[in-house]
Amino acid sequence: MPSRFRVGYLQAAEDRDVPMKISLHIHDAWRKRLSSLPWLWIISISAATAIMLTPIQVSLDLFFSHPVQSMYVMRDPVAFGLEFYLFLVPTVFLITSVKHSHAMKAVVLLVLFGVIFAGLWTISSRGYIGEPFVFASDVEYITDHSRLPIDSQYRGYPGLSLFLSSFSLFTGLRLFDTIAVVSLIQIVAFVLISYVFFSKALGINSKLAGFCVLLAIQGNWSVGKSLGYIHAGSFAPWILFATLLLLLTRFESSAGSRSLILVVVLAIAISHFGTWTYTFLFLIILSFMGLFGKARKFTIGLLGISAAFQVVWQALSPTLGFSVVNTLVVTSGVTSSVTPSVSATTPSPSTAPTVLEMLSLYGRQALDRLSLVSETTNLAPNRNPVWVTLSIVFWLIVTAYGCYLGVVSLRRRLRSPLVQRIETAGIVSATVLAASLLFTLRFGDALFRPLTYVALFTSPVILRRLFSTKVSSRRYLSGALAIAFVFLSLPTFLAYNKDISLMPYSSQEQSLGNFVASSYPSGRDILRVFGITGTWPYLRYYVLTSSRNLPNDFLAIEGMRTANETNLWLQENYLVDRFENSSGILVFSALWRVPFELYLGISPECRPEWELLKTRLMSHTVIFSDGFQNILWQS
Amino acid sequence: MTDCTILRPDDAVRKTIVNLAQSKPQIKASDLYLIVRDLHKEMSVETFVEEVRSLANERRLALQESVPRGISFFKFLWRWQVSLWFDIVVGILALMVVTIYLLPNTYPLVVVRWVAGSIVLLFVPGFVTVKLLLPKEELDDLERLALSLGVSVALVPLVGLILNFTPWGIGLDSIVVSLTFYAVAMALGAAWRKYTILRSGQSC
Repeated sequence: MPSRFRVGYLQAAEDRDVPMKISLHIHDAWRKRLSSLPWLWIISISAATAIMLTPIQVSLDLFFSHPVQSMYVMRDPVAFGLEFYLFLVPTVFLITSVKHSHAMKAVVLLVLFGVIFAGLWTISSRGYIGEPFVFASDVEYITDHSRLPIDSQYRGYPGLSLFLSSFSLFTGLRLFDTIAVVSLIQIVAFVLISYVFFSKALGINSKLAGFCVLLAIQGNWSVGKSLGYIHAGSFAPWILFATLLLLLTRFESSAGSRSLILVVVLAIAISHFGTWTYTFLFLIILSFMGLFGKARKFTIGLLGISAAFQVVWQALSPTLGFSVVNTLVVTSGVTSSVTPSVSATTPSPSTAPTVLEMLSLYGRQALDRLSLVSETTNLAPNRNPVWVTLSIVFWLIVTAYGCYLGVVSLRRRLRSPLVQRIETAGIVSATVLAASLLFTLRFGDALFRPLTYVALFTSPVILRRLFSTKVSSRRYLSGALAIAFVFLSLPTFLAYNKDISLMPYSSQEQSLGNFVASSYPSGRDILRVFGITGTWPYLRYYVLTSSRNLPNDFLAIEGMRTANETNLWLQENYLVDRFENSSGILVFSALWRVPFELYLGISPECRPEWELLKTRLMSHTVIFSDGFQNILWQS
Repeated sequence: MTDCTILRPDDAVRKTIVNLAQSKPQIKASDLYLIVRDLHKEMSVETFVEEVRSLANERRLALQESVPRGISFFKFLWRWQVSLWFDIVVGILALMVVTIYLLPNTYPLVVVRWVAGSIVLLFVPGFVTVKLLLPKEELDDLERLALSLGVSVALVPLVGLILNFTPWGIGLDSIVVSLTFYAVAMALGAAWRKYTILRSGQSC
C-alpha cells in the first residue's frame, strides 16, 4: 500500500443529496474550446492589471461639480472603457465556463472582478474612502491606551476597530495601509463566501454560481457601490454571511455548528447594530419557516443570549449607557455625529411638516441616496444623463423582482428545500427591516440600508426562476440577462460612482486636519469643535492625534431631517449661537449649503438668511481658509 | 526503457467497488479488497488501491483514514499524513511570533510578517475552531476556507473585547499570546477529537 496508513473505511458518496442542476445555455463545444485557451486568461489578467495601473485623476476637490465624476477622473475615458470591456468579456466567459472541480479558478476571476468593480477607488485613494478616519482614530486610541475609546462614533460597536487594531499590530502595516488592505479583503471574503453559498443554492454548478456572484456585486446598488469602503456596515455583513454557511451544515444535530452560530451572532452584536437587528429578525423568520425544527430551544436561547448580550454590552458602554432609541438613530446614520448635548437642546421645528411634505422629503432622500438626483455633497448644477438613471433603475428593478419572488415564496415555506427557505427568510427580513426603519426613523435614506443584506439572496432566487421557465424562453431570457449584464457593466460602474471625487477624503480636508492638529498641541484645555455633520469624523482623528489624553468636544448640526426651510436656518444659526457662547473653533464650509440643496431643492445662496449667516460668521477671527473651508476661532 | 502495458480494469470492477461500498456504507478497505478479488481474480492490491483512489477523486467514494491500534495521541500528532494541518497551523503561528519579535521590521523581511500575520488573523482561529467543532462535516476546501475566514473575523474582535476588560488590555503582546494560545488549544482539541473519532471507527 502506498500510504503508511491503511485506508480504513469506504463510504458510498453516490447517495449524496445532489440539488437541482441548471446551467447557462452557451454552446458547450464552443465553451470548451475557448475556455481551454490560455490566451483568454492572459487577456483577462493583463487587462485587469492595466485597469488597476491606469492613472486615475481623482481630484479630491471638495466640490468637484460634475454630475458623473467617474467619467472625468480617468485620463482617457475611451481607453478606460476599452480596457474595461477587454477585461470583462473574457472574464465573464471564463467564470461561466469553469468546472466545479476547478472552482478556485472561478474564485480568482471573481475576486479580480470584485476588486475592479468595487475596489478600484479603494486602491486609487489608498484607503481614504468610506469611514477611515472614524476607525483610524479608534485604532490610534486602542494602540496608545490598550483600551477601547470612550467617545467613538461606534462606541457600542467596536468590532471593526478591534479587528483593524489586531490586523495593524500583527502585520506591522501602517494605519491607512491596514485600512486599505482590510477593505480589499472584505471584497475577497464577500466573493468567496457568496460563491460557496451560491454553489449550494444552485446545485454544485460553478458556472452559474460564478454568474450569481457577478450579479450580486453589479446588480446590487449597495454592494457595487460600497463593498470596498471601510465601514461597520460592510464589515458586519461579512460575518453575517458566514452564518449562512453554518446554517447549511447539519446544525440541528451538531452542537459544534450551534456553538459557531452563537459566536458569530455575538460578534455581529458588537460590530453593527443594523446588521445585528437584521440577524435577529432573520433568525426569528427562519424559525417561523420551520428551519430550526428540533433545535427550537436552541433558537430561543440564541435569540435570548444575543439580546441579553446586546443590552449588557450597551449598558457597559461608558458614555451613553443603554438607549435603544439613541442606538437606532446613530446606527441609521441619521445623526451619526450628534453629541447628546446638542440633540437634547436643538430647537424643535417651529411648524410641524404635513404628511405630504414628509412623504416628499422621503422621496427626495431616497432618490438622492440612489444617486438619481445629485449626490449628498455633489453640488453639480446639471442633472444625471439618462444612461445613469437607466443603469441604476434597471438593477433596482431586478433586485426588487428578486425581493418580490422571495416574499411570494413565503406561501410554500415549509415545503421548500433548506437553501430556499434561508433565501426567503433573508429577503423577508430585509423587507421588514426596511419598512420598519422607514416608519420608525422617518428617513427615506434608511430604506436602502438593508439592500446590502439581500445581495446574497435575490440573485439565486432570480436565476432559479429564470431557469424554471420553458426551455425555449429560458434560452432567450438567460441570453438577455447575460447581454444586459455585460452591456450595462461599464455604465453601471460609472453610475454607482458618479460622485467619486467627493467620496474619498480630499486633500483639502486633510490639510485642514493637519492645520488643526499642528495648532492644537497636547496639554491644552478641551477643544470644542463646531461644524456640520460631515466635518467631524476626520477632524476628530487629527485633534485626537495631536492631543490624545484630552477629551474633545465636538458639536455638529443634527441630521437635518426636516422639510422645513425655517427649521434649517434655525439649526444652522443655533450652531453659531453655541459657538459664540463658548470657546473653540467652527468649521464653515460649502457643506453648510448641502441640506438646503438636498432636502429642499433650493440654493441657500439666493436667500437673504445666507448672507446674514455669512456676515455673522465673518465677524470672527478666521485662522484658516482655503477657499472652500474656513476655520473661525472664538477665544 | 522497457515496454509495458497498463491494463485498466474494466468498468465492471469499478461498478463492483461502488456497489459494494453502497451496500455496506462503512467497510474496511481490506475487507472490500477480499470481496472484489473473489469476483475479479486478476485484481492486484496495487490496482485496487489505484481504482479506489480514482473513484475517491471522482467523488464517488469517500475515504476515511483510521488509526492503527496502539498508536498514542502523541504519535498520532507526529503522523503527518493525518495531522499535516496541525503542523502547518503550529508552523504559521511560530513564524508569526518570529516575524513580530525577532525579525527586523524592514523591507523585504517585513513582507513575511505581512503574510504570516494576515493568515493568522484571517484564517487560523476560524480554521482550528471549525476543525474542532465540525469534525464530521463533509466540507470541501472552498467551504472550509470560506467558513474559516468568516469565523476568524468573528473571533478576533471577541478576543479583543475580552482583553479590554483584563488588566493586560488590547496590546500586541496580549493579542499575540491570547490568539496563539487559543489557536494551539483549539488545534490540540481538534486533533484529539479526530484521534478519538478515528479510533472509535466512526466516519468523520
